[in-house]
Amino acid sequence: MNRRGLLPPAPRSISLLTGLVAALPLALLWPALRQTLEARMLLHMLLEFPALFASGWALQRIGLGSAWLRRLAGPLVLLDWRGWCGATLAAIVAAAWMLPSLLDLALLLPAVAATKYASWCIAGWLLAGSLRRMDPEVLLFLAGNVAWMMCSAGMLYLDAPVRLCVNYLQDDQRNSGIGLMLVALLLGVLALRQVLQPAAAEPCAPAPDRARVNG
Amino acid sequence: MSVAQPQPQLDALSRRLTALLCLTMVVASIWGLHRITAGLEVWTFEGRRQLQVHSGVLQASPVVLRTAPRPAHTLWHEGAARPAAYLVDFIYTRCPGICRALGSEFQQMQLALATAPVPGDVHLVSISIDVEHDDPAQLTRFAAGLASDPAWWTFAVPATPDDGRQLLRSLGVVAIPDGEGGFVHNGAIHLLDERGRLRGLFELEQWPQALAAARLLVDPELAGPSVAAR
Repeated sequence: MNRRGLLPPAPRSISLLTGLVAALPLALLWPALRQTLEARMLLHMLLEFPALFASGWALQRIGLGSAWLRRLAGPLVLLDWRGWCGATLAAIVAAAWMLPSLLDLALLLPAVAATKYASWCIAGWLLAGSLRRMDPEVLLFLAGNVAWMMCSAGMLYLDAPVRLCVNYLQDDQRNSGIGLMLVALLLGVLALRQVLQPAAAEPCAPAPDRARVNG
Repeated sequence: MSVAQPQPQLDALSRRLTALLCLTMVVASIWGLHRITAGLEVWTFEGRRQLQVHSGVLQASPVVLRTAPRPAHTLWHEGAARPAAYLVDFIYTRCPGICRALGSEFQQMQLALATAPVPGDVHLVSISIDVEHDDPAQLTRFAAGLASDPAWWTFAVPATPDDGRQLLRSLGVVAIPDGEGGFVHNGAIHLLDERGRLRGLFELEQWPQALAAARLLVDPELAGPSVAAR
C-alpha cells in the first residue's frame, strides 16, 4: 500500500485565511483578549472553543502543503482507520469541555487551561484529516452524538436554577444554553446535508481515500 | 506497490491499531470523568469544594487583616494552639442586597453566641472582597449599621489586594463582577479552625447548623443530640 495514498492531495497553496485561522491561538497570548473571551461563558464556549478547533483544522491544511509533514503523517494515518480515531477524540473533547467543573478549572488552573487549548487544537487537527476517510455512517454518528451532547448541556445550562460555574453569571449561563442548542441544531443539519449530498456533486469526495484505506 | 491494489494485511493492522487507540481513549476519558466528578456525583466546582471540605485540603491563607480599632493582624495561622472556630463570610460595603441578608444571619448568630456563650473561641468574621474600596473606617460604619458587637463579630479587610486574592484563592472562592457595579461570589458561610482549615460550608439558611458545628469544633464535649444527629 502506498501510504501517501492515504493522505489527500497537497493543496496548491495555503490561503491567507488558513494561515490566520491557524494562528488564532497566538492571539490568546494577549491577556486582555483572552480575559475578554473567557469572562463570558457564551464567548468562551461558542467562540474560543470553535476558534481553537478551527485553528487545529487549519494547521492540518497547512501541514498537507509541507512534504516532510506529509511523510511524517503517513504512518500516523494507520492509527486512524476510516477516521475512527478522529471521531472518538472529537467526541471526547466536545463532551469534556461542556462539564461545568472543567470550565471553571480551565479558568483557575493553568494546567487545565493548557489542556483545553491543546485538546481543541488537536481535535481539530485530527478531525480535518479523519473526515476525508470517514464513512457517512460514522460521520452521522459523530455529529449526532456531539449535537445530542450539546443540546443536553444547553438545556441543563438553560434550566439550572443556580449558577453551575462560579466564574459566570446566571444570565450568561442561560444565553450559553440557548447558544449550545442552536449550534447543536446547526451541526445536525450540516451533518445530514453532508451525508445526503450526492457524491458526484463533490469533486473531492472522500470515497477514493476510503477506498485506499479499505484496500 | 500500486495504490489500487488491495492491502488486506496493512488494512487489518490499521484497523487493530485504531481500535486499540480508540479503546484507550475511551477508557482514559471514563477514568478522567470518574475522577473529576468523584464517581459521577459532582459536576460543578462548588460541588468539588464541598468534597474538599470533607478531605480537609482547603486551608485559608494566614493573610494580614485590617480591622478597626485593632491594628492589622492575622486571625488564623499554622502555629495556633488554642482551639478556635471562625464563621467567615465575604462582603463588600457597597453591596445592596445579599450582604445585608448575610448580615441578618450573622446578627442571629451573634445573638445566639451572646445568649449562650461557649468556653472556646467562636468568632464571626466578615471579610471585605472589595479591598481597593473598603477600609477599616468604612467597615466600622457598615458594622454599626448591622449592630455588630466586636466581642463576637469582626469586620476586616485584607491588607493588600494580593492578600485578598490569595485568601479567596486558597478557599476556592471566586468573586466576579455582577455587571451592576457589585460582585457575585460562591459560598456563604465558611467555618475555619484556628489554623485556617476549612471545616464546613453552609448556606445562609443553614446558620444554626454552622453555629453548632463551630461550637463543636472548639469544644467537642458540647455535642448534643441535635448536633450528633446532623
